[in-house]
Amino acid sequence: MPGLAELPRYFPRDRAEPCYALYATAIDRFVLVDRHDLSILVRAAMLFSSKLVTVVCVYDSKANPVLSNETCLDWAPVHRVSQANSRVPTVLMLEGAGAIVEKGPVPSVGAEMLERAQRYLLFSLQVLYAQFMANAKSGHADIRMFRGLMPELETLPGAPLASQPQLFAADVRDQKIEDILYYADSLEQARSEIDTLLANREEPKLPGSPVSYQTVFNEFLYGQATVPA
Amino acid sequence: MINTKAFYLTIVRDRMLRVGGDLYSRLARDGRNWVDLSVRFHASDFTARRGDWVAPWPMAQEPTYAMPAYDAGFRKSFAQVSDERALQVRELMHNSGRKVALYYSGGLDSTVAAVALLKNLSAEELGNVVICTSVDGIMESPGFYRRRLRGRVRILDSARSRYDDLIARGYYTITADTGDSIFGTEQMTQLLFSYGELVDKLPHDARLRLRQLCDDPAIGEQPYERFADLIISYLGIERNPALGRWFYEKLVRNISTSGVPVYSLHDFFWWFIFNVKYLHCALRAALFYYRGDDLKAAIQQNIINWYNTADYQRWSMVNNNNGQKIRNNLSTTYKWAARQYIYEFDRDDWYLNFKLKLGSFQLLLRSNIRQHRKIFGLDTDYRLHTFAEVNVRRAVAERLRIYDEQAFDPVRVRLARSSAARSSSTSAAAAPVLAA
Repeated sequence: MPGLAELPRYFPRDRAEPCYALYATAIDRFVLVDRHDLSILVRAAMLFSSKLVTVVCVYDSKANPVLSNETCLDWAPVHRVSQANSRVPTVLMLEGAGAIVEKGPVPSVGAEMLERAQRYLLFSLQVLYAQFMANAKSGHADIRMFRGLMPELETLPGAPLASQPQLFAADVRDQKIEDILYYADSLEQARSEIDTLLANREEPKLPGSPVSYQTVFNEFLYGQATVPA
Repeated sequence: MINTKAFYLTIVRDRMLRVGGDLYSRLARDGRNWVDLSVRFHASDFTARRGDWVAPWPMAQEPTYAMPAYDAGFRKSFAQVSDERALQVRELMHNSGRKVALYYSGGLDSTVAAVALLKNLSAEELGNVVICTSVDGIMESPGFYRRRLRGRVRILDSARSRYDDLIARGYYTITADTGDSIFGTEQMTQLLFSYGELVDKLPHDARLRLRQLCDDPAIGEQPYERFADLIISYLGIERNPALGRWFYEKLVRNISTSGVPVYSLHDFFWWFIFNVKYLHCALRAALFYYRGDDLKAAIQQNIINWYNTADYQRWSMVNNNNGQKIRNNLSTTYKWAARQYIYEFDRDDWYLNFKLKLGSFQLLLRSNIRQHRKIFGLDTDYRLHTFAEVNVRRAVAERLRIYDEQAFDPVRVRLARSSAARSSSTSAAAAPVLAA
């Protein structure tokens, strides 16, 4: 039974190489690798589950061949993982050396579709990192976890109605970004809708924060403060 | 009770027989096989619609779900059959003045039904269609839900909308439960999934022979007899090594007396689900999710099994090994004709290329699991018998204690067969629209 002692294996100290991989049971291949943050990767997998259900695999990057997003589409767990039993992605530890194996090109799905899937997934992951970092650096917070924990605030009869409820004003943005990633059909559509969403919002620069949300978001997503042409 | 009644469907589970000690060890060899069959296939029970089939108790063919005659000249496409099915439902709604409620899981089978209705009914007619679904169902295909269902038809929470509730409110309920039987690829893909592991357990000669076939993309088209050792291993369970051979030979006897061409590995498992498991798939929604007091009317009139038409079944019988049901034996290409039908309507590349089979029946059972576990069978008076009845428990145990297939009264076999033949010719009259 896994316990506290197992925890470090899920969050390896050495992350010079990818130690996480999203495995698509439908095609028996990895579709993306990452080395930064397991929880954000799980969220990316959940948002991508509208298109393709994946399992988030953790493997020992020192005891197995180094994978990249260029090579991972030819690789899979050595023992094929059964079809997904859940619509929601799960986390799976691939034990020890020889846990992953090269199986070659995917036979059932065209290369173009696979590239489309990988690009979309990579973009989603970058958006989620950008979202997290923009919230952190610009003093915003993803306060959706408090939804349901806080009491409803009342308004006196006849009082002017605010355009948005004050308590969770910020959650609209985070929710909409994820809504776009979950439902968009293509990377181009998702990117266009996110750019439009943020361009049309007036995000306040919070006291003590040196930069605006959009600036940090764009820096982490595009590597520059503004949306590239 | 079981000495005087014939049954349309029975379900035996190992757990049910553990009343008053270790009964299993006292069962006859074939009695144990019968129990273990249900263990191997997760509380499924098998009743042949065509061909010889011996059971521990008398079985009869439920007329609504009889198999049509094999028609080698059947030429309608899956799309045509599906569109025509929607038009039948439209006509039924028009003639009866009743609405329909489609139980939608987001899987391929119920999505075909949804597409067919969306394609073939007007906006006004769709006002009389409701979709019963769950969060899991929406999550299985969120894009389709948002693009095609939300705002176009009324959506009900399936957990709060039982069949009897809706029927009492004047709805026909539609289930797509027999979709797996029409396509019939589920068991073979499961076998191929564990092919290497199963082959490794076989004797040397069989291992060498079958390993060579493993990478053949046309493996499903090879004669099933070549895989006998593998199938026997696949059908067995650890505690009963003889089960696999017993069931394999039972299926082969059934095939040889069916009059339907069954040659390949694909055919073998298709026939298993299309013939022997069909009733289980067809009746389970009514048995497990209907709590009203008129099961006969529910089964024959009020619950529409979308795929239970003569044309869908004829399509199924003439479209084996041609890529319509599965391509290259991959889980992303199973039910290919259904994928294409949905794709032609919705143009969703993701769904076409990556849709997997996800279980939905357990979701339906959520609110009803206790009742499901107690059911023994449905008799020919449409009365449900459960293991909560002491006399049922005793009679089932007694029958399995002495059950020997070779020595069992052959009259009962003839009864089942002649009943099936009669049903086959009268099913259309019994339920003109539902089984048309």
